[in-house]
Amino acid sequence: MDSALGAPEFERVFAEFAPYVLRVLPRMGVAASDVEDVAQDVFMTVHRALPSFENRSTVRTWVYGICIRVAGNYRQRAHRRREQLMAAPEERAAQVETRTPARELEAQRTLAALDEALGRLSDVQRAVFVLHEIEQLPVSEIAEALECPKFTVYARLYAARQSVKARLARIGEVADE
Amino acid sequence: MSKQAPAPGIDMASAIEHARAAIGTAGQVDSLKVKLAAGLATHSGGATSMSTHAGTGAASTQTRTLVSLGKACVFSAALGAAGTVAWFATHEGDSAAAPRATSPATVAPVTSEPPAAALQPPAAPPASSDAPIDDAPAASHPPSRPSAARARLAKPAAASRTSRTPRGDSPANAPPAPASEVELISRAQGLVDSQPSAALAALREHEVAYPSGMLREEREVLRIDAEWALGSRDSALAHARAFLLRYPHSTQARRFETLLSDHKNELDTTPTE
Repeated sequence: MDSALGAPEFERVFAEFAPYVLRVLPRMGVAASDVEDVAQDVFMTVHRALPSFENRSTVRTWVYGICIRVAGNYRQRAHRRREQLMAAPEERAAQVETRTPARELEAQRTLAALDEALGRLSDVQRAVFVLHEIEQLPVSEIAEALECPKFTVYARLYAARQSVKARLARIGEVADE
Repeated sequence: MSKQAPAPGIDMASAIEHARAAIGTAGQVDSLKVKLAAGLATHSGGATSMSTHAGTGAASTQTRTLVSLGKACVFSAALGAAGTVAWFATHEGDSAAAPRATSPATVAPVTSEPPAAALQPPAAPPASSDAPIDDAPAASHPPSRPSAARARLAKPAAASRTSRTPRGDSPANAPPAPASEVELISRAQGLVDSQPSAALAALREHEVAYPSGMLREEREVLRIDAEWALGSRDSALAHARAFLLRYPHSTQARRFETLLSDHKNELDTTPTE
């Protein structure tokens, strides 16, 4: 597995990043039932483009950038069926629900609420929030991945945090009434 | 209903923690491997534009390896072994064994170049990439929580049974639709300890709106908990029995088996406390 070539090996990239690709895609609005397909698209793209990868960014940044773009394209394609997308959080939670204890269900519901809050953000805000807060990429890397100035990242991050926080609080109130 | 207990409002930091923990599981990664292997086999073997950059010998090797990977995954799944890392190892299989391809053509037009920006040395694995794939799901998938569940069941509470009408507590921008499955079950979950009767109302609302909803198993779990909390032990035990018949493999099964076992006499003799 460590047989290093000059360029990163596809298998190694897959092994290293697949769990994170699978983590980031749902937060980027990919419905649970589509995550595997979209992740496949991501890695097909990685596979295709890896030979031309020139180390101008880290592999991580590069892969996340692909994730964001593929997820964005997915969302655009799915825009016409917006209703189904709106139902994605429940669908996702429900799919995992069948074999989960209650404590895990709570996590699933929290994630569903988070997804709902994320769904209210602009694409850029969402990407910035997800990459920074969940994937824990530094702002500089996010700026690279999204190909935008760092200032934009900071601004979008601030706005996204405010929006998500407010929305989550509201969902909590609803659940408590 | 009074709002004495502070709202378990969803804390953003907590939500983020949950999201961070939701790393793809070994099973998901394996499944993706199988699909990817099939997709790559399709694209390398047939006429496709996908191989524009990948038509090199090295890429072909990658494809072949992944195809065999898929095969290995199928075998490993069949054997019940989840050998995630062993997938590169040996199998130089034929592509005939590759699983069916699934819509690889949906690859979106994505910039194939790395983002041009400030040069950075290639380093820094993912934030938590040191977590082995196989271990990743462990943190977010605890096997069960018998103690907490038992604690809840052991806490009868008196509360008036008040029906709630369905409410469209939808977000400002959402369509004025009835509460979603997740909302109703979340509401019930949030109320089951403090206001079990209100939790039951939410569960009834869920049952009416989503009789065959995807969260029905959880609805039944919460119903049993809420009834127990209300002191409706006979009903709770009856529902627990029904639950076990319907969901014998549920992760909650053991908990309810224990409950029924502990209260067998009560069930047989005194229906209500």
